[in-house]
Amino acid sequence: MPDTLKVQEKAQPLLKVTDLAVRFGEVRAVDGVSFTIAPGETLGLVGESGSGKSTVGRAILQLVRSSGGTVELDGTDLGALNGERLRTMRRKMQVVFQDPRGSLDPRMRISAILAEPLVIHGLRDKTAMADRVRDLMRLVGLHDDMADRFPHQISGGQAQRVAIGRALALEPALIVADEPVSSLDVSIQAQVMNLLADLRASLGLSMLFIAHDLAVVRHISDRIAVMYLGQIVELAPRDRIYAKPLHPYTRSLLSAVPVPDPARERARKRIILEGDPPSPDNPPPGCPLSSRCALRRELGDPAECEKRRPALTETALGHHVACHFARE
Amino acid sequence: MTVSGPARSPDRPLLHLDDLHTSFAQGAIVAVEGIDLRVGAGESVGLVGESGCGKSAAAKSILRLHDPRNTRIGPGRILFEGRDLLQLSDEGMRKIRGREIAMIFQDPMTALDPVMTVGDQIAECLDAHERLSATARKARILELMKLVGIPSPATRMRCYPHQFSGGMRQRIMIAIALSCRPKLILADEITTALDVTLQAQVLELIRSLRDSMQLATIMITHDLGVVAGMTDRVYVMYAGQIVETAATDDLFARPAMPYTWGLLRSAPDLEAPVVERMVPIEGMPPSLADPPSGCRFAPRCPYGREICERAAPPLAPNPVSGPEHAARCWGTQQVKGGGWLIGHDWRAPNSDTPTSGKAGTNA
Repeated sequence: MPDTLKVQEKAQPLLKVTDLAVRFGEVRAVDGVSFTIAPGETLGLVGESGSGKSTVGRAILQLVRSSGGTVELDGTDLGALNGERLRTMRRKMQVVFQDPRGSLDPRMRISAILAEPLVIHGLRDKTAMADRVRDLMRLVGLHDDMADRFPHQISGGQAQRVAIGRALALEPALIVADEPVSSLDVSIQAQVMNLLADLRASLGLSMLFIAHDLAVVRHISDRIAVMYLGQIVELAPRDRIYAKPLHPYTRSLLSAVPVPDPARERARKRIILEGDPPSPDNPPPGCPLSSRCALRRELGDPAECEKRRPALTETALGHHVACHFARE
Repeated sequence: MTVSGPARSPDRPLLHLDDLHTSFAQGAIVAVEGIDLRVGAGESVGLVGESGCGKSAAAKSILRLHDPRNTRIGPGRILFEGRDLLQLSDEGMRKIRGREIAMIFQDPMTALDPVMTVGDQIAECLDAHERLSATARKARILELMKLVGIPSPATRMRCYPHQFSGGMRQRIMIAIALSCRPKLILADEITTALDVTLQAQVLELIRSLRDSMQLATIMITHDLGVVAGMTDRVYVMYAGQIVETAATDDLFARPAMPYTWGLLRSAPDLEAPVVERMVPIEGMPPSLADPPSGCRFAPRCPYGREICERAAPPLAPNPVSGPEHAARCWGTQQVKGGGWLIGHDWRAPNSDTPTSGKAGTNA
């Protein structure tokens, strides 16, 4: 392949999500979401319960049917594929779920769990298989003597390592990690986050890292997208979003995470969102945050917020925000 | 003795766990091993540690909530206003639960009864302890629902738990806990299952209720951010034991021992600079069925010395910060072969090489 062509390919995003929509009956779980992930890039997708963040992940993996928009992996529209061709594309994208135990078959040994994707995708040679399983275990930091254990005989952190190893078995280009450390203790979280960061660097993986708050994704993400009620309300490079969050929802999310320091914690100003998020089967007209927005209250409840849904607009290089009034 | 005892903890605390032990499976697993914990009236105390460290087992022991068929609480004493709760009959304990000491659990969905209206659940504790007329009962339910910020209580009291959001359910749990005006609330990971914005609301609510009702609280949590914002004093637990205790400000300013350092290093801090790699605590906690004979943290401790594996350290005052700050670590104690961590800056890179070498397998 000529070098120029290679360079051009590099510039293409690995994953391109355009105007994605997912409906469950009347519920608009995902409502017009667009973003790209470059090769080797990690996008943190942050949102609270019911924001639609996991549904975005599942729609990318073609685990739920989208009702609108497209998902392109390496230039191929996944929605147009089925059967064998979809299965081939699936090798390129793998998933790690939140609950490692719930995602491992309790009656399979660790070695069999790691071998399963290889078997499904046609590897038959026993020796090659055993070698590959051992390589995978080392890659994710599991001791060889764990191969014969069952999921209930290992810790939660180790189970998550198995799930990560299984996801890597087919050498995917993209990992969708759906809250992969949320169920682990903090000290173990750091171990697994380091593992993911190392793997990303050594294997050149792209990652969609889904999380419920802005603390976990901070160290691993290149860019961060914040979702609220099925929509992306802010998307920006990592350092910008923590230093200069623009959307009132992002601001309150940031202010809600407690910091481990009593003096700073006492001095902090919280932007507390009133009430609960509205139900996605009956979202407010206009901006999804309008019913709870601190900025809107501050501005004397402008009618604009309830009339028109703000579009995700670029305000500075790579910094996108969906708000009629957010300014730096 | 009148001199000792933690700084802000009064001589006669509201609650005093005195060398409390709790074991399961005919004593094979000692989940709580000789903990000493005091809570003064109106004081807020944090009990912090990771899964399986015994923090919830200790809290449940206070209210005798474990299955009695496989649990042994004792030896030790649970002194509440000077009275040993372990000496009470089951009937006697029933008068304590809810009325004197109440507990709020982590998961409001499993702790609430799905087939009972929330109004009736809020009143259940009242019904057990007080005789109220129907009008007074309803007035009290409405008052409690208003207190915890549930909108339109008159209609909502007739709803069932599934008709409420997670945050609202946790408010209902708090209303139930407050219903009989207890003096002490045990809050067991109450915000863990909630989204951060709801967590902020619930913590704010607990703070204001605590101040207005003179409530003492034990915040049981793994989250040092919650400890920092919500407590006066803190106890750190590891593998069934208290390994460090101090006034909250002091613990964060001058943490004494390596396990606490590890917890602080791995606690997410949105205001700290971004780092490429986080600093985990390597390895994992020991099995409580067969804990290490020396210091229980020694197999994972990057600062360990020879003495750590040979002998178990006591919980002793930290020479740097005074008697109210104690740590279970030879490195902080002026004994032969110990004391090498006195005044050590925990943020400094560790020049010590661990004696025991490898931190065991990855978790």
